[in-house]
Amino acid sequence: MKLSSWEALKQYREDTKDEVSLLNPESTKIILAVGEATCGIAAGSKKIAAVLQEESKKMGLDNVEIIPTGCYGCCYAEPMVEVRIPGQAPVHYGYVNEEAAKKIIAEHIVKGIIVDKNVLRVEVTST
Amino acid sequence: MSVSQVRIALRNCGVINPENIKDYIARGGYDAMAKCLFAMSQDEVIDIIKKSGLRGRGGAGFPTGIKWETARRAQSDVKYVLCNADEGDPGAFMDRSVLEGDPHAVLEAMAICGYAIGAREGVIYVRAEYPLAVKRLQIAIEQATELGLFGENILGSGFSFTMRLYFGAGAFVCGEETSLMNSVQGGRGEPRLKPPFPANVGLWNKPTNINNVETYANVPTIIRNGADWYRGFGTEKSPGTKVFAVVGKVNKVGLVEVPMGTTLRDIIEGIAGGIPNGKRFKAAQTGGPSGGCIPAEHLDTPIDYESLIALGSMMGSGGMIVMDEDDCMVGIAKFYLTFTAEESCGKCTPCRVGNMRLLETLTRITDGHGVEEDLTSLENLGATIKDTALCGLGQSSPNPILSTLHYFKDEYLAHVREHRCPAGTCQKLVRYRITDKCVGCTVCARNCPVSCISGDRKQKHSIDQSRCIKCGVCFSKCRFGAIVKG
Amino acid sequence: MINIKINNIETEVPEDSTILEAARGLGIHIPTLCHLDLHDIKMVNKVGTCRVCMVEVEGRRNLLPACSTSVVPNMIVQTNTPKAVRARRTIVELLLSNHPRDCLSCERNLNCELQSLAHEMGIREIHYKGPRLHSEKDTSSYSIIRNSEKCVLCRRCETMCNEVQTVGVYSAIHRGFETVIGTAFDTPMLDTACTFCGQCVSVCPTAALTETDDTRNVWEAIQDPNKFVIAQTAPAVRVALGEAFGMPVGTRVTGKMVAALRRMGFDKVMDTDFAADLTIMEEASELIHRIQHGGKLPMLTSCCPAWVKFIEHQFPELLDIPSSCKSPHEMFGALAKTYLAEKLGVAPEKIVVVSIMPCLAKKFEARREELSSGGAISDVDYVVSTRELGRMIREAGISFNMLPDEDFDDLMGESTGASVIFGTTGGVIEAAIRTAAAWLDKDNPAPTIDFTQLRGSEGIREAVVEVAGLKLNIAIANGLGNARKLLTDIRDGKANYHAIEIMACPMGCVGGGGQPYHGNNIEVLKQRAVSIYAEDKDKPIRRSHENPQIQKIYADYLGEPYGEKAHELLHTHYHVRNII
Repeated sequence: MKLSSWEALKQYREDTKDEVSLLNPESTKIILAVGEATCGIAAGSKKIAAVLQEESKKMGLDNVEIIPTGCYGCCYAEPMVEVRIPGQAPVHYGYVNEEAAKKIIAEHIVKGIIVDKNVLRVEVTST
Repeated sequence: MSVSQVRIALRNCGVINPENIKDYIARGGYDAMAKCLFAMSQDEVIDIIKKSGLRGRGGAGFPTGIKWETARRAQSDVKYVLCNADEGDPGAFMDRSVLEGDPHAVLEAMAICGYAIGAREGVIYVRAEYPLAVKRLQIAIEQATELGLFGENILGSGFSFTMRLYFGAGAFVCGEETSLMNSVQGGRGEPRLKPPFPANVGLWNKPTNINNVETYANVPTIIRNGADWYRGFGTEKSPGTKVFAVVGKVNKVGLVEVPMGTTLRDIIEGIAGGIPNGKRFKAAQTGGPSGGCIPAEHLDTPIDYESLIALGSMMGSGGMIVMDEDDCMVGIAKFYLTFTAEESCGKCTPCRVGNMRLLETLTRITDGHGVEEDLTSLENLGATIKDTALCGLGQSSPNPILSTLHYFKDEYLAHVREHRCPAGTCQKLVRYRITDKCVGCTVCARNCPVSCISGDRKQKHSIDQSRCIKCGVCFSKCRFGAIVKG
Repeated sequence: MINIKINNIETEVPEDSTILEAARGLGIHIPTLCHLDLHDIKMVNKVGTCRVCMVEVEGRRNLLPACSTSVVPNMIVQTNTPKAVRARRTIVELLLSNHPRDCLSCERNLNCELQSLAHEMGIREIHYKGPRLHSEKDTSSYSIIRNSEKCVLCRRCETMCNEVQTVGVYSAIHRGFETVIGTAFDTPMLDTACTFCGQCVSVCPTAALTETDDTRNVWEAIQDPNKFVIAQTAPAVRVALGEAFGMPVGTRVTGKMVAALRRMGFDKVMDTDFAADLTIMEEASELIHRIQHGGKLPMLTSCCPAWVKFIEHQFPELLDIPSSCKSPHEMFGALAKTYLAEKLGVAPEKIVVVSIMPCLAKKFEARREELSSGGAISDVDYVVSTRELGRMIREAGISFNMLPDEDFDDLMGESTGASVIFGTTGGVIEAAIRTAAAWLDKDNPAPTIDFTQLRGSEGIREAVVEVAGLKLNIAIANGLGNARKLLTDIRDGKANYHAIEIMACPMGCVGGGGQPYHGNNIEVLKQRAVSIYAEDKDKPIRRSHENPQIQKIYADYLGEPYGEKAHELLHTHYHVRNII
């Protein structure tokens, strides 16, 4: 499909708003954004993404979507996972190993309990 | 200490799915391009970039708007927009992260530039060693083209712009813009004489605008938010933010984006969490092989293009390597010279032969054969290379030596006068000694691969210096901190 | 015109001037090394690689290379500030630190631009010491030796080969300190598309590129009592050899040259000019034959071996258009080992033919298998260049300048003015037209001799020559880049010529790769060409077919021009070659 005007671009933005992986208060979809830049992949994020996938399946979660993102800058803390639950502030996790990944599903996603040990606080003014 | 980052170039990195154009569009993507195509004249686009004060993030800090304006004024039926993604400084990965995390920002900016200067084709020169960046760029180009955001008659505006990738084969000098263009043309990566500058005679001898990845990544946001908004960040002469790859002896290795004018201390001790293991900060190397080492006494200097040059370093593309007391500054200078001597294209005499002679002198010093006159020789030859080399690579290659000579002369003197490496890293100069802390556990003696440590059980041991190969095994095996080096 | 100031002297210079040109206009000397501008042949090496000519320009932080920096209005230049002088000395010292510095035994001793530069700058000590680059010599070809250890990377050879000659053999390879000028994939020169024109050697400032030295072989042959050694000398040698002995450029030394060769011990001293006359007999016959019998046109001359190799590599589809004539010295060789052997009563295998040539490509040519009788006995055994002959004469202790003039030996020593002009661009075709005109226009008692419309120095020239009512379209190219243009037009069917003369070297053989170094001054070549035409003027006979020794050899031995015997001895064929 070719967009043929600026209006069409704006319309496209509107039309695809439910398909994007950003935090969307109107959606029921939970997004797990896994850092899959070179730094994340080198630290094992592909494996972590697979574990997250597997665990959510096990738990019967059908509203969880795992997406790759680029580098959030915290290469020291890779693999990183950002949890985006509609209606809640997003949470960044760092140093996520398999065990932590399982906990993120079991505790945070299923029970709503944040896995404190792996929470990463990064002060960023976004534009 | 808490210092907040400001993310403009990295605004989407780690946020969006870089392989899904819908994410980028949802964040306002391609609105800047559309705004230019439908609501702004070419001159207005250039004007906003000029007013924003955006300067080239590849190192030299040339005003981007003036570059665009020159290319716009150049008379030619064919012009090109080039993106320099040949990031090659050791320890730097800003551009890679942007391309991996937000490829569309760069593509959108290039199309905006194409509209502004009157070009129809964009070329991204990206390192082949960045396979993920390449893949994500390819996906991005494909998705954007499919939506009609590139190609013929974009969004029905009448403006057409196509994009293609060109892979660099790993020559550092191809990051130099004219070498890069020779490389794209299938030639040897060698710099051209300037003038003429690329804005007039560039790729295929046509007017060409070339900026690096980070510079482009700033453009869409500037167009959307305006020049004044952008000038709200940074300093008078260096508006906006800068991305640094902070690596080396810091607790939090990674990317930071901070407003220009932030101090080194805020970056290193604040965002990057300071030096690990309680060690003392010694120097920060900025600007890669073209830059220099900044010592502790200048940690509070607000960073911008001018201040770093005044300190004998430079902004460069944003690599920042932090060193602590265990790093030998002569060794650091040698590391960089090894790099530039190897990466010199060999075209001009000072860079080809001069850098090799500098490296040989440094090697003599770190091997313990240096004399005090060597330091004068380094200074003189370094100054001549800076004055005479053909391109930026050669003109800046002595900086790592000159800046360390300036700030850490004592260390050089220790090497040439006493044949001693204070940091204990120059392997040929290092001496391992066993102190009175030794309890005679014999671990060192049993692990020494050349059996040059002797001593009775429960008695202080000693090392036969004449046979020691300075492997450091004893030092790392000792559980009592009884072995020292230096 | 713009105003600038150099060393506090104000001057007005054209807008496109460089600082170097502006300074020269004021009599201010700025040392250079890589820079080379041979305007007439469009060889401009303005690459700014050596960084010797650095000067200070007000308002600029760095020093700038005078050779490649254009002047701008109100520029203020200082050429001799302490900073500039120190930088220049450092650069030269760096170059020397990576140079073998075996000047005493170097081919270019006393004739080396790097040596001169060091001398001029008074370098007495090299402060920067370190290992030199080590590199194997390439001695694979029979013509050119590459010694990268002596290379200063001025890139002149590259510019000459790639841009002027359009052969493209050289480029920089490897990186950093290891950078050398080399062939693609470091292929030995013999296996490349190199034509061995030797123009790279002509412009090399050092001994990084030199001719293959055949002088030892020649001395050995001369000293061997069982060998009968015959020298033959090419036309362009006699107007350049004097330069090797300090004589004014263009001095004609034919007689002294003959005397010197005799004193060196050659058994016979004969003339390639004789064979040039023979070439005209064959080539003019072939041209008339092709025109009258609807043969392939245009016909291209084939005297120049570099040009022949060029077409073999670059235009293999056009190999049916060059004349099948061997080059003159090869014709001479073939006859020396047949006709002469018979006449002199010497066994052919005892005869050693030494060609004294302005050319390096002839060395390769002499090794072509097809240029021998039955592949066993080469037509020509050794080729030495004008430069090598100069060295041999010195080595033999001959005071060249004091020699009397002597004449060539009989049988194959007599020549005409037509053969002399083979030595310059346009000469071969003029010589051919002189004979063709006389043959075609049988009733004309005084056919034209001087076809001045065919002379000149431009890279490509065209002329229409009217002979006996026949309009002949002639084209002439010198320099392979110019040849490429003509050949491309021919291939694309855009050209309509009867005959074309091509010489690989700028201005023809007077500018040959084996001639004494022109010292970066193209006027030298022009002066040699003037002397060539003067030598022609002074010859009593100026048409090849009127040469009595030529008439005799056809009557006694060869029979008809372009006939059976002539074909066997004087004609050849060409090979398709690849470009790697």
